[in-house]
Amino acid sequence: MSIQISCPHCGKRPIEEFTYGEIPRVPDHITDPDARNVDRVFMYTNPAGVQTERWFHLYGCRRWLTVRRDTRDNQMSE
Amino acid sequence: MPELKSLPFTRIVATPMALDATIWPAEALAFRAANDEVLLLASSLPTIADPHAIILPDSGFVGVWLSAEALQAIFEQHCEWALPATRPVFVQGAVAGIAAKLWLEAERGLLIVPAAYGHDFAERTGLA
Amino acid sequence: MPVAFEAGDSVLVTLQRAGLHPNHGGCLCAAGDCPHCLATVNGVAYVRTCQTLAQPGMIVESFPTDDYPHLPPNTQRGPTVSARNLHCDVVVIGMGEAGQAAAAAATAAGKSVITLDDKAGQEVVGIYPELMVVARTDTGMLHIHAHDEVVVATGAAEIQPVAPGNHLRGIVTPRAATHLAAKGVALGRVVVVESGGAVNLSTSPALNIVAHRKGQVLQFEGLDTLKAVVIQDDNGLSQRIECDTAVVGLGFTPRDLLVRMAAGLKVRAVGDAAREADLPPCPNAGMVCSCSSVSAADLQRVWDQGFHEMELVKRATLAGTGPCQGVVCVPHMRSFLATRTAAADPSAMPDITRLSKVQAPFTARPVVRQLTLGEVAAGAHHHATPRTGLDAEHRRLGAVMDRIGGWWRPWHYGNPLAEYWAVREAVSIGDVSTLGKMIVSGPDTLAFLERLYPTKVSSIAAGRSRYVLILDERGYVMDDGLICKDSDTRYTLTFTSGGSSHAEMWLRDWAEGWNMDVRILNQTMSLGAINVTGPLATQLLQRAGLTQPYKFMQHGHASIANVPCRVYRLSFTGEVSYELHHPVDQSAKLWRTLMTLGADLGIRPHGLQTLLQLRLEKGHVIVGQDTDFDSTPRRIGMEWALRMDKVDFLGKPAIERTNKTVLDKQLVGFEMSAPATFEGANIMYEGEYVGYVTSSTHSPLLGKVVMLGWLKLVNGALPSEVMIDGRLARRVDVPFYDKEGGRARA
Ligand SMILES: [Zn+2]
Repeated sequence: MSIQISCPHCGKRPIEEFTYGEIPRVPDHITDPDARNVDRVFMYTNPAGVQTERWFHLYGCRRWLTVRRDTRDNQMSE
Repeated sequence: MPELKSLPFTRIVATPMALDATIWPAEALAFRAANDEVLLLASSLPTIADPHAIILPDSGFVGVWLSAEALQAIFEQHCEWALPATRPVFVQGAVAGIAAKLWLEAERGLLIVPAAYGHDFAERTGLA
Repeated sequence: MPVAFEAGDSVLVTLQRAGLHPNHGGCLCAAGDCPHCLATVNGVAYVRTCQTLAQPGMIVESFPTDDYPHLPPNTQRGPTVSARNLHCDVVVIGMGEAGQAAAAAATAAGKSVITLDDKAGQEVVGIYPELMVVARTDTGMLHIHAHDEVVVATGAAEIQPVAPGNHLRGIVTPRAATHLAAKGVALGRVVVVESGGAVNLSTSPALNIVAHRKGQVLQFEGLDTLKAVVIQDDNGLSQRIECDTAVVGLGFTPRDLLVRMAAGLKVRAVGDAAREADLPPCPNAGMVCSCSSVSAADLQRVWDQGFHEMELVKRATLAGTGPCQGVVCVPHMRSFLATRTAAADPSAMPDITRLSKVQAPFTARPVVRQLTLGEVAAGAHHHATPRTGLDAEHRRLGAVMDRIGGWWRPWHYGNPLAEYWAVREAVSIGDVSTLGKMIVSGPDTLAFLERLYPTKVSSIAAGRSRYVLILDERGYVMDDGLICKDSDTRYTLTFTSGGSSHAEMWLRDWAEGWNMDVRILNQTMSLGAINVTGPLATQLLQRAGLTQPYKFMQHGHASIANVPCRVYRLSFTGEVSYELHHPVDQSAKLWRTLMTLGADLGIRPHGLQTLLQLRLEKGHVIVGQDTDFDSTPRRIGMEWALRMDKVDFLGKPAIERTNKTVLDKQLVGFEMSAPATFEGANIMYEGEYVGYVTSSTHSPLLGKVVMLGWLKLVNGALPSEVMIDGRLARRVDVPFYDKEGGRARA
């Protein structure tokens, strides 16, 4: 009844086995280290499209994996 | 009814390369829980080619050997994901909502869960 | 009233034969499509009686005429419904000709196929992402995971008439007429009306057909039961015919709910489920959606308000959101909107344009059948709460157990005050197995921890531990724990019980992110931990086998009661304390031996209630209880735990930034006279709200109430006297007990 995520170590599993962790991405045009830090900590982009996400396989290998998810249709790639 | 019992594992965390190169004792069951982690059931310890490896006895898991049919009945009711067809095989994932590890042989299999969840797991799967 | 039935009769047939209608009235389809035969059967509401076989002793109740069906009282627990998970390549739903052909083709192509058919008792209720088909059966729910595709071969439903009086008893579809007649149900004088759909009842010779007309039904007449129909023929002439049953043929609409809920999934309709829908005449009066009581007049009203699309009309009226999910109303809504849209186009001939203006049905959503909560919950598990190796021991000792910090833990053992004095004056043991315990090993370990923690990790000597705050990148306190140095390349880290589930993810995330050459092992559930605390703790442990003395914040290995232990000398209670970390399968053995050896010392186990009281007397903060999401070390008065002269640590830039702002509030200690107030109580100063209490207890030893709480600075200073619970409370420095800390170090 759910979206599935492919864990490179364990295989395809229901999303309930994973915990979500976002990778905040700082745009390149922000160059000041202090401003980059603020952006990384406080700014969330929430794109309508593909974003890089980190998921922790809590019910399996207990390791992080990185996937690309399209926020519009939940299609996952790599 | 078979019972969940404490398993005398050795837990090994080492570089993936060192684990890949390890020759496990013939009678051992070495479950690759992650790229850098092995759960070992063996009477002797092999040499691990990683000076920083963490190698410790671990009684944090309980398990039970069940027939293929008994396992199939549990999976059909309590496991949403598809099991691989190959045997023997080690897999892990949620069974009855609890993180389980499975060692599946042709005729039987070892079902493993953290001891802290043993009570709930047995209750949910009828192993109690 | 008791009614007789024959084997194979549905509940609907049984009722009809007895002259009863399951649901007051409305056109019957006898095919599971419409909502008009729904009733409460054996206490379960919304049962399709035409799809349910009659059983001896079954109790069938109609819904109240002006209310929703009554649900069982929520004290009554329904039966547990099991789920079966099945995997295959192709699922075929519906075993008519088209379904059989699809299944045969898939099998011939070497696919594994699972077929589902409501006539075989498999009622599909929804299709979900990743291609999971959920079906209800008499023996539980099926969760079928299809790898390739789902074929929907569910056929077509008959369109039902909309005209004034269509809520009466005595209206049936052509299929229902055939079915009921074949089952020997007396239909009386039958009038057949072909309204765009052919009706052939020649297979039911028993029927007494008094009239067979082509045209539209203008009116169904009668009070509760049909008495006559008024029909207008194609020439515009109307005629009133008395009858007991009206059979109206309006054509077919595909049963495509399952397809319409699966956009983007590999779901394909075949056969009649894929046919074009017939379009009934535009409804001008009568009930369009009996599920949600939406009449033709209601459609007109929302049209006039500007709702001109299917999706919007559905939302504006709720038509199509009831038990039949739009099977009955959608054809009429489409006809209505096409007709109005065409009429609003002055350039075109309305009758011809109408067909080109027909809109697609609205999106369908799971589920298409009403389910009990048990059926919805089938196969789902709530989060399991872990138990320590001492769980059975606590219960044996009569402990009051509760789920705290994500674990089952003992709250107290019946006499919390005696537990308290055992710690303060003798010796006590407590279960702290729930603490997070992690090992980090590798060449980069020190560099890794130095970057994670705000303390100077390099100044911790081997065999020593240090209390640490754990900060997030925003400089907020996330957790606390210990860093224990084993060797230059190996450390053991502890975390609070509540924070331990997060600790492993946090460590691994940063280790990967910084590309650190470290190995990480989570031992939280592998090691039990018993806290031995009280002035006689050292004496007890010497009896149990401790041979060397341990200094405060020192750790090492020892065999205690013949159990291999990692011993940590520390203190959370304020008294001499040793944490004994040990293999979790030996917890009970260690616990019982300590209890026996300490019997003459006055040993008692203590629960979490006592532990929280003891630590509060020492002013120790519980992260998550005393802290908030935005608690910086400065705000909780623990800047001493930071080494701002370090090059970097997690949260340092944020702390440098927030330190430039004016301090607005602080976590401080308060005292007042008994009784203790509740945690969360307001703190007032000169009639204004200035904060709230986070921890509160009556201290048996100090004879007064001690508290921690958040206090705002007023005119740049912390008020020294405030009102809590309408009583005077004094702000005091923590700890409340043993300010010099001599007892813990003894
Ligand atoms: Zn995994």
